[in-house]
Amino acid sequence: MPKTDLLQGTLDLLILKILALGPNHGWGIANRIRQMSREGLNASQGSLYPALHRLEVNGDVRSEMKPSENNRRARVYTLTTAGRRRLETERESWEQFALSMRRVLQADS
Amino acid sequence: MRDRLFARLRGLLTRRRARREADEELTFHVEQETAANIARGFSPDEARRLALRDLGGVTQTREAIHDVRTLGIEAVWRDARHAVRSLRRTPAFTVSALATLALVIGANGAIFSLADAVLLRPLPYPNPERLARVSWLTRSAGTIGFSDSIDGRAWEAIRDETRTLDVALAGSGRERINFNSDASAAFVTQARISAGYFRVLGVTPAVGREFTPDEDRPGGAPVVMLTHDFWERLFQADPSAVGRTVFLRGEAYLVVGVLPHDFAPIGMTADVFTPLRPTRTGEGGGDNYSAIARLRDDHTWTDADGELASISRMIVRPELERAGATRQLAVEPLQDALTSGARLPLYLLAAAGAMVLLVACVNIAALTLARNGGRKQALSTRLALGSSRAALVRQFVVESLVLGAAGGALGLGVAHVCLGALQTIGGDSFSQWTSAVIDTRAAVVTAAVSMVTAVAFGLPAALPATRLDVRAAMTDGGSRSIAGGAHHWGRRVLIATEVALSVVLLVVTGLFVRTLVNLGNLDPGFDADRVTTTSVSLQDARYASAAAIAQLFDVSLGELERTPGVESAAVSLGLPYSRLLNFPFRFTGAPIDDQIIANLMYVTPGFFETLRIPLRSGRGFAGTDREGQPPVVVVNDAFVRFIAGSENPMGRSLTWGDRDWQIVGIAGDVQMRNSGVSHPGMIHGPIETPPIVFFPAAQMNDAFAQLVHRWFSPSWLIRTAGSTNADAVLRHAIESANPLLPITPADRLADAQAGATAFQRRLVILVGAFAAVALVLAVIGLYGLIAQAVMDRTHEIGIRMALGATPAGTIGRVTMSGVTVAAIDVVAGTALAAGAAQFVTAWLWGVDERDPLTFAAIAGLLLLVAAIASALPALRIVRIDPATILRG
Repeated sequence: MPKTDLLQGTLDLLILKILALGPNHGWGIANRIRQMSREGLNASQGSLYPALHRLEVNGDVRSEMKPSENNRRARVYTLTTAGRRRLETERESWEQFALSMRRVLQADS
Repeated sequence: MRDRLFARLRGLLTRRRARREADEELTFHVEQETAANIARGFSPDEARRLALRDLGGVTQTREAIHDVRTLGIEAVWRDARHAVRSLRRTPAFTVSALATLALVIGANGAIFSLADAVLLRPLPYPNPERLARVSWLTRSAGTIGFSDSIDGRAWEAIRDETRTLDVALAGSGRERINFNSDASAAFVTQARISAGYFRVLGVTPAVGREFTPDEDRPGGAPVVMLTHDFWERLFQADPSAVGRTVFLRGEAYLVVGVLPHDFAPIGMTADVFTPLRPTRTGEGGGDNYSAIARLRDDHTWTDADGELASISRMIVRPELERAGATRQLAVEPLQDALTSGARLPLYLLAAAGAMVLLVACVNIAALTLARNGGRKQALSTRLALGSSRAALVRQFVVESLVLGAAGGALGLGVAHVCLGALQTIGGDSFSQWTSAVIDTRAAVVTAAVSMVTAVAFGLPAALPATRLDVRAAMTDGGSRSIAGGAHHWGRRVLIATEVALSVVLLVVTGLFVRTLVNLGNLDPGFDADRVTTTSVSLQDARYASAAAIAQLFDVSLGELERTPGVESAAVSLGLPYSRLLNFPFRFTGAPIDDQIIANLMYVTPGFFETLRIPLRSGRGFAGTDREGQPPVVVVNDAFVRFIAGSENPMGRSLTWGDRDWQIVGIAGDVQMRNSGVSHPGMIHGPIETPPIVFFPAAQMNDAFAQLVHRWFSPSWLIRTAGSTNADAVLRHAIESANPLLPITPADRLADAQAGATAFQRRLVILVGAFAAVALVLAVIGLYGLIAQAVMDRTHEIGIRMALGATPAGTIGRVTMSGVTVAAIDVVAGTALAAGAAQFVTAWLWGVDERDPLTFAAIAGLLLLVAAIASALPALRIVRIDPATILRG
């Protein structure tokens, strides 16, 4: 299956969704995106971290340095209430968007 | 929003830590990814290479994170630095704008802190809005005024009849007295108040209690309360001070209470408080008390006023009231009552400050216009190179903000200096001014005003520059007209405003100067040269008898007469420019209700000679006018003019007390202040010459001495030869009669004379300073406008001169056009000034608020200044060779 580049703006939605499942660190998020899309989506890791920090500046997530399995500290991100709200609205508008796309593409002539 | 700002700030402030953590985060990622890649079957090197590739490089990602975190704050910082650089490139503009802002913001900051201290701050008592003063409200033809003092009869009526108010009383004035306790002696200030005074204010003593009604009756137990400061100073804050006995003026008093440390007295400060013991006779026979009141719960001010109106009807005897005037008791909010004297000067100051602020705003706008005119080419270059209009607007906004911030900071420093100056100048006249400080409130207001001034006036003037027609501005080459017609018009209005406002301030200053000159030209009626005075309080148990007082005067004056260098000496109750005793009397044989009020002074025989007050007819006093001899008085010219009428007063008698006093002489008038006496035809003002009755000090009786020495202290006055140390001479003479009397420091009478017009002089200085600032700003604006116009017409002038126009004619023409411009502004300003002058009539004396001379002089001055400002640029141009101008 060919890998699809992420549409602009959808990365935030993916991050929020993953974090809604539980706190995670950056690599974990990237890995979950890969796994859950069955390798279909490959978040450019270069844009993942700036996106995470932007979300924190916006107040959608908060982070904390925590010790991890291999004796290193990892920055663990948690979804905030504001982030949870944002996830809902973004998900709705994304579904609206996807639905519209499908209608156009599946039109007969 | 706040979280966002906080996160950014954190990003900025803990930059190093944030970078380290980002490094850690990314390293962690690369390690995890490498491990995952190895698990997928890549070699370790390959695994790591792929991990780094997928991340897009550690360094780049780290920078991207950093940008996200610090976006905004850094941009503002960058803009601010850019603005500072840009402001430094136009130093003339920046320095003028900053100086304008600093001066004007500083002055207004100082005025604000005064207004804040005097008018805006609530009184430091609980529920201050329920506190009032009970005053006489006097209505006469068109005027309404509060008079805050009442007599014993009015007090008793208020105390016994009011249900809506909790009332208490204070005596007028403060006295300096001797204080002794076991351990210490001090010269202290004593105030007298009734029982319940602190209850009404809502002040609970820190230790002990306040006075009981029993102590506040004539003959009540002698008790005293101490202020917290005094208690700390004299008793080291020992609570057992309460219950001890101390000595005031040599009499024993029991300390019953100490006031809390944050107690602020109404009016002047005091160290000790004693019971007032109000009466209906003696002190209470005149308006010598002031009543404070707290509105009881469940009552309104309307209830209180209604009640006071009916109480007034019980005590006002219409037949004794002045014709055409009615008076009734009424409540006056305490804050208003306390600040009424200081309010008007503050309004005047605030108005002058506001005008100068307006002038400054105008100046900032004009300066900004001129500056953008000068850098029009630079701006158009930026626009042509693709800079967006929004970016230019943003730059101007930031420049205004930087200017405002810097101006505000400088302004705070200036405010500090200004406040000190204002307090030095006005503190004597307005005691409340001294408590003002530049505090946080004042700083915030000052900073806000500075920002608003810079942004609200600098920005609108700057913005049109962003709508430049790039092509026109650039091809113009900048050699000819730089500002378009529309800009000229805007600037024209701004400068007209400046000129008009300075006319207003100058006219008001001019009216004050004339007032001062008029007062100075009045004949004082005496000669203050080399006269020195000192006063001694005789409110003292040892001087309750007239005989003891006569002894004191005789011994001390005898000593003075023997002292070499003393030309003459006397003692008198009251001095020129002091407040005098008002006393009712009648012509002997006149009906009992035909009372006349005049100022009364006792004097020793040397008085008229010492002050060189001329005797118009009859005689002065002699050593033989003593107790047991026929009582005699000397009256003055004003007495003859306003009281005696057409009848020659010489030989007539006046009745007061149980004696008839024969008028044996008529003396010249002497200047006084606040005589408190009013007779038909008398001219009132800052300085008056009221009717005065003089009587020999040696003919006063015990009752009179005890009564008057409660409020007034006699003064010793000597005229000395130039080199004599008058202070030491006076002190020695009085101590030779009684070494234990507290003597106030000696004053030169000439200082009192200068002090009589000190308030008027202060008005001139204060308003004059503002007027001067406004004038300078206006002249700079006017000069700039005309110089600009002349520059625009450089070509035309060159052509004219090449065609044979004379330099003189050219200068004349340019100057005339400038003067014409200014004349319109001056006319507008004069009309404005005529309106503004209405508000200062209360401080004018001997000059009409529409005084044509003042208005004409100020208008002339402005036109002259305008002519000079116009001639200068023209002068510069005609000096240049016409050929140069035309080639340029």
